Amino acid sequence: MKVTRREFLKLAGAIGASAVMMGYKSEILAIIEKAAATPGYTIAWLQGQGCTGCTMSLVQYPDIFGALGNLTVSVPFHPTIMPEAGHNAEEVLEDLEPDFLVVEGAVPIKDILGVDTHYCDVFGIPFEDLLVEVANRSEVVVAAGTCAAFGGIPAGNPNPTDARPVSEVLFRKTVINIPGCPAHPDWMVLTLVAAITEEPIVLDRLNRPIVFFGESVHEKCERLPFCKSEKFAKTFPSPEGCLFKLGCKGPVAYADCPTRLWNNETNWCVRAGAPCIACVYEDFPDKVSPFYEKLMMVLPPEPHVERHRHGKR
Amino acid sequence: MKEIKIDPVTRIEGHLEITATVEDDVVTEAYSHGNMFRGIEKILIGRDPRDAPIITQRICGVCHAVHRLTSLRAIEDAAGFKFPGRPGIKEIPDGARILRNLIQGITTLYSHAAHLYLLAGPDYSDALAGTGLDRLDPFTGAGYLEAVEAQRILHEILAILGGKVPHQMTAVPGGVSLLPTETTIDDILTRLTTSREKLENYPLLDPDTENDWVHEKAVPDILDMVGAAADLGAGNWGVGPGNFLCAGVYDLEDRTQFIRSGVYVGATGERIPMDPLLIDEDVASGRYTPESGGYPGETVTEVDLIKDAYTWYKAPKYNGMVVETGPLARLVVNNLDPLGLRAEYGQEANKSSTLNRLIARAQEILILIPEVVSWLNELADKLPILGPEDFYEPYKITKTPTSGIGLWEAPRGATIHWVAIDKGYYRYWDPESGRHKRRYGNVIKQYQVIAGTTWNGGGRDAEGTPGGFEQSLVNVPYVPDPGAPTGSPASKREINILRTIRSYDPCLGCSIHLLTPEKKGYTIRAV
Repeated sequence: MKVTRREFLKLAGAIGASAVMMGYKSEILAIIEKAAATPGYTIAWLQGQGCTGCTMSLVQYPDIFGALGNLTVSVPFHPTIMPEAGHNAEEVLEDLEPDFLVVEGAVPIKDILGVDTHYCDVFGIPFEDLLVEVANRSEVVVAAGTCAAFGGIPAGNPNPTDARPVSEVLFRKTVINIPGCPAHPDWMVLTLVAAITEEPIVLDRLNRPIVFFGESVHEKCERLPFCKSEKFAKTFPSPEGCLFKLGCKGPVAYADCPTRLWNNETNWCVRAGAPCIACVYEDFPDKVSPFYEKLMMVLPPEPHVERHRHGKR
Repeated sequence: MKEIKIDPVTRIEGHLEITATVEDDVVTEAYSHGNMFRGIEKILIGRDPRDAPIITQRICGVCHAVHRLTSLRAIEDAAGFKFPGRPGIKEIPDGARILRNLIQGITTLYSHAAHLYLLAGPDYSDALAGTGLDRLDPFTGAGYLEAVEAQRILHEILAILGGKVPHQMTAVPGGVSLLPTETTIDDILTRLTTSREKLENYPLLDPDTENDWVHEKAVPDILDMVGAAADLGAGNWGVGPGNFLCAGVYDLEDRTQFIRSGVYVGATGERIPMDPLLIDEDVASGRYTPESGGYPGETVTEVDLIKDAYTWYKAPKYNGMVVETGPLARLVVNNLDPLGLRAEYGQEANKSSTLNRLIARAQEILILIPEVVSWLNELADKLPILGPEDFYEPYKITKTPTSGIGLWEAPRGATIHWVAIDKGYYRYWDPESGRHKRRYGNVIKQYQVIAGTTWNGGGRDAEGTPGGFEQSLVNVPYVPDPGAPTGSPASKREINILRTIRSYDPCLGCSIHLLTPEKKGYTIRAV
């Protein structure tokens, strides 16, 4: 399925009622029209303590290579897809001054009392050092997935490798956090579009683009009427009824899954009868587990104040 | 004599480094270094057993259903569910069994397609190796782009069955959370058989006429790739340990499995039953304490950061033997050689080689497609008589302490989970007090994973026997392709080392793990 300009605009336009993001339409049009004339943008994609799930998620975007082509974006360094290996791959990265640095996976501690841990080595150096070095010559840094954004699974109690989110390592830079396990391909691609079109990206207190992560899954859930009428599902499989008592963590999960849906608008967890595990939550997995026990209480929604705008690239 | 180092090995999942010694343009010795470690199993200790499938699933984002399904089998085994080769008093209901087969089958199909086109395929493409196979060119080749689209359609099917993918959500302890309807089946069939623009007006699959993308496009592409690999001599090198292990996968209605478990012993050509109690892990070359080795159901594992070791891999053994796992192992153990491709092109059907691993992956796609379609038909036929109780059996641990083993297969090899469960206190977050509290219940006391690539990628054992990757790299020619375009990856000397490693479809995220039951902290003996 080749994404035509119209479809691309539709995808970009469907991202919500945010005035900022609605502004994309004309901008994308302009970008695509001058595509041939623009010098093109480059992405370097680094993998730390991750599972490659966010990469797999990104390639679920319809015609991802066509979409990147439309945006004149190329991905010279990505360990899972690049043609080169070893020393040649290192050369590719050395020559690169990426417009975007996308990081997948958490960053483990590199030494304990002076002893190298080797928890995550790339090119024979600790991942942390490589990340800092590449980030210093990158324009925009994006942390894709919960591991990179908040630590995620590797940082789960007792955090055996002292895994940290990217923003803790790159504390001098603004890191755009796109949590999710995995991150939704639309969240990644549309953030990229916003950065290319030099549209300010409104971030919340956790540096998440507010358009995607502004409302809780619970608030937009298609099973919310069941919850309000207190019809709770008691056992699997339940095509009807609120899944709260089966362990749904929707009230603390801030993401637009219920309206955006996953895999080309095919389905999402709650529609398939599976309780939300709040994989976008900043303290996933520790504060939302046991996953099949009900949440202790429904937190009042946190006010999503605008913290700052991510400026022009 | 020359020392070489390839870091990172790209177009695989995760962080792998290969170092090797080369003499007279041939590799004489190789070392496999797993360079990333998370300690997932350590994170599992003290949690509710039902959390294990969700957390272990996130070991890998490529075979994203496999660890969940394997972990479910381990904790269900511990709760008295019956599986092939394991005792039990309860059964996974029929509907759940079929859905799990479908999820596993489609995951395997997509993973194999992605491997053959996106990961291994470029090595044999025109752009990288001057083979004339321009459909395989990365980013631009028609076959490459069609395969990206094909795996996307397969992911949509997985999303129908699993809510979302990667990391599908519907397989739950005791069954599945999805109650399929006729619409579910229709949605899946529409995606399989309706043509998409990118697939050049072919349906993805049409087993009735075989007039579909898989048969018309993918099979010829793969045969071209196999031909190119055979021309390069890939049937002669990449020879692994010669022993194969399969843990068994796809439960059938008659309580057997479509791919049965077993071990093929290379030295004698025997096929013997597989007993999980004979599995041992060797940690001589891994950054672990000596006590960390042994039977995975019992060992206490600790990281040893100052040890003279070179990898995060442990080296699993079956009855002392280094074994190879993956599609080739599954077919050899089950004595299958569809279309006689391995006997014809790969010299011998049971030979371990770079070429045979590529062929076996393609063969498995071919035998799996009719099975997946038959499971879909089975589900459609039974749908009118299946009620909600046929998809979920309440999960309850009645006696503690208890333990379980989950035997299953990832697209890239045998995946086995061990779990021990006892009463204890688990942590939960109490928002009111703003801190973690403890509650009494069933908790995981011990957890251990052996993933497909762990078998293949392990380092040297205490006697110095090299692991699977290390054995198969010996005798690989260290020469560029004669016809490769200047400056392309195939014009570099290490190309055949990379082809051999990629033929295993390694997944490093899966294969490196650690468990430290009860004890905490790092072992640092000297500072």
